Order: sequence, then C-alpha cells, then structure tokens
Amino acid sequence: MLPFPYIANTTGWYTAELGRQPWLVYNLMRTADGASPTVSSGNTLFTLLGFIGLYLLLGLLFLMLAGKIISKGPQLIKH
Amino acid sequence: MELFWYIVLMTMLAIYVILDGYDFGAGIIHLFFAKKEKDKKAITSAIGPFWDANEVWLIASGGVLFFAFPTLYASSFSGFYLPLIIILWLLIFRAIGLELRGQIHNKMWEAIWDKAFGISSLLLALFFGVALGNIVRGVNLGNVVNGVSTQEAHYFFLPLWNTSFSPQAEQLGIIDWFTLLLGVVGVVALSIHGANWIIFKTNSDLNQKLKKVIFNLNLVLLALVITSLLIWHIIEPKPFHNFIKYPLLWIFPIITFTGLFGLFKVKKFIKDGLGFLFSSLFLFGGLASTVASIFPKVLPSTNTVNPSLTLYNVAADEYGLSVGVYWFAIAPNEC
Repeated sequence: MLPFPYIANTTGWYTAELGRQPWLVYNLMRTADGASPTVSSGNTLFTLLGFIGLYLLLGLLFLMLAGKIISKGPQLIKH
Repeated sequence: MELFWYIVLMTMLAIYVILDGYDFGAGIIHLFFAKKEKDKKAITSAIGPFWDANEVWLIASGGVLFFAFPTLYASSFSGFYLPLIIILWLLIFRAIGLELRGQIHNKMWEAIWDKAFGISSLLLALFFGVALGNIVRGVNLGNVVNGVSTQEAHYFFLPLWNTSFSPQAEQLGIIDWFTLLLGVVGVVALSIHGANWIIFKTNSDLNQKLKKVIFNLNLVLLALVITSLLIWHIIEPKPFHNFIKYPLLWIFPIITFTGLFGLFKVKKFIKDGLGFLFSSLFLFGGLASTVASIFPKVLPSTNTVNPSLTLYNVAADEYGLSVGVYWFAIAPNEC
C-alpha cells in the first residue's frame, strides 16, 4: 500500500520521457542533437553518479525520519 | 531591447546575491562563531524562513538568461558545467543541513548537519566569487588550441583547474589564482553581509562580538578590493576604459565605496539595519561595477581567434524579446 504513489509517479514520468524518444521536441529536434558538444560523457557520468549518491542519501534520510515520525504515532487527544 | 533585458538580468542577479548572500554569510558566521546552542538557534532562525524564497531569485535569473540570451546560456552552462553542478550539490547540502538539523536530538546528528550547513555556505560564497572571476577573466571561446578553433565559436569547456593555476595559460581552468582571489573577496564580503543580517534580525549575545568581526573583516575587504583592482591590470590591460568612455558609470564604484567605507562606522550604528544597508550597497555596487567594466561583453574571449560574446550577439530575436517584456510585466500580476 505504502509505495504505490511513488510507483505511480515514477512510472508516469517514465511514460512521458521514454515515450518521447528519440525526439527531444517532437518532429523538430532529436535528443542526440540537444547534447552539449563540449560536455564529455565522462563529465555527465561523474555528475550522474554524484546525483545518484546524493539522492540515495536523501532517500535513506527521508525513510529514516518518516519512519521515526510514523512510529511515534498520532498525538493523543486529551479529553 | 537587448539592453533592457541585460539590465533586468543583472538587476535580478544582484538582488539574488544581496538576498542569498546573507544566507551564505550567516552560514559562515555559524561555522566560525556560533559555539553555544542558543547562538546557533538564533542564526538558523534568522535565515530559516527566508532562504528558500531567496534562492528563487537565482532560478528566476536563470530563466531570464535562458529566455533573453540563449546563446550565452548554452555557452556558459556547457562550459561551466562542472562548477555549476558542484554549486547545485552545495546548495542541496546547505538546505538539508539547515532543515534536518532539528529533527533528531542527538549530538552527532546535530554536529554533522551543522558542519554541512557551515562548510557548504563557505564553499558557495567562494564558488560564486570564483564564477565572477571567470566572467571577468574570460574563457577560451571555441576551445582554441594553437590558433585553431576546435569547437563552434561560442562553445567552450573549462576543467576545474589547469596544471599551472594561471589565468594566462592557453588552457584555462575554473580555479586559478585570479578567480580564487575574487572568491576570497566574495567570502569576506558575504560574511560581513551575513553578520549584518544577524545583527539586524536577532538579539543574540553574538551581536556585540559580530560588530568587532565586521570591522576587522571590513579592513580585510578593503585590502582585498584594492589588491584585486591592481591585479586586474595583469589580466586585462585597460580594465577601466569603460568608465572613461561613459563617465555616468562612475555611479557604481561610488556606491561600492560608500558601502565599504560606511561599514567602518558599524560599532557606532544605533539602528541595526544600517549595517545591512551598507553591505547591500557594497554588493550591488561591486557587481554593477564589475559588469559595467566589461560592458558590452558578457563573456570575454581570451583568444584572438573567436570574438567575445557581447550582449548583442547572444540575444534572442527582437520579436521574442518584445513579447517577453509584456509577459514579464503582466504575468506575475496575474498569478
């Protein structure tokens, strides 16, 4: 039950982004033409790995903090 | 039209530096001077409600750059790819350091995020100064090697540093002694600005100490500004020729030095906001003078093969710019 919104959101983005390929702008520009000629693939790989690492860290932090809040439970209403 | 959008872009960037600058400065003060929990809390609550909105000015400036000067956007964001991504990561680290610190009451957790917040603020101030230094020094447009352009005339790519750390080599780097000097100017100026904000917004015990810190840093800043103005002559043979050609531009250095010299009286200010006003004047005047001195160039070329990017050869089409004026003025009011 819990991960379904994340799955729905992510697969929605996959549909949009992958479905658009090989076009960047449909019928006007291909993705390959949009790449910067001066940024090498090594640079992109380095920054991609950096982002993966950063988002992994942020995801773990989020799971930990959200889990802490959930395990604390709802606030009791005093009658 | 191009001139109008150029002024809009530079004004938005100046506003961004004045606003987010105090966030960086507060982070630097937090790193070096906030030892007690009370002081740390004062500093983080002084910038807590504001940092997100201040960063929006950066995004808005990027948007205006993309719209009005697309060639400059393509050229500079490709060429400065690595430092831009590093700045992005530092911004993310600063944000999570600030926001996650209070979530768990554990000494190690708080220490880690305090250091993340402080060190990323320091590095951000440094990197923005380095970025300004790169613009002023110019880049190797077209990636010219031995007199032959290896790329199209407006493309380039700079590694983070070159082997000699010199701004006069043929293969330039982002970090060399000239840009690092301007980076240090940025760190000192933004620390003063952040300290002024803390004095303005909080009643913390640090305020008296910060006034002494601001005075001392201001002396350092004066020395650094004079040094950088002199050293600039090594990089650029006639750096002030614009000021001689258009004497009206002298207003910007006057604003800068008003801000700089006004801050020497910081210990005697009765109204706390006055220090912040002077440091804002310094930042605005400093940026405006720097940009005015390379006008109309927006990205100088260090080689003689490819021409510099001026605001006229990177601007979008006339029709697009005029339509943009309408949407820029009307659209925010419709929201």
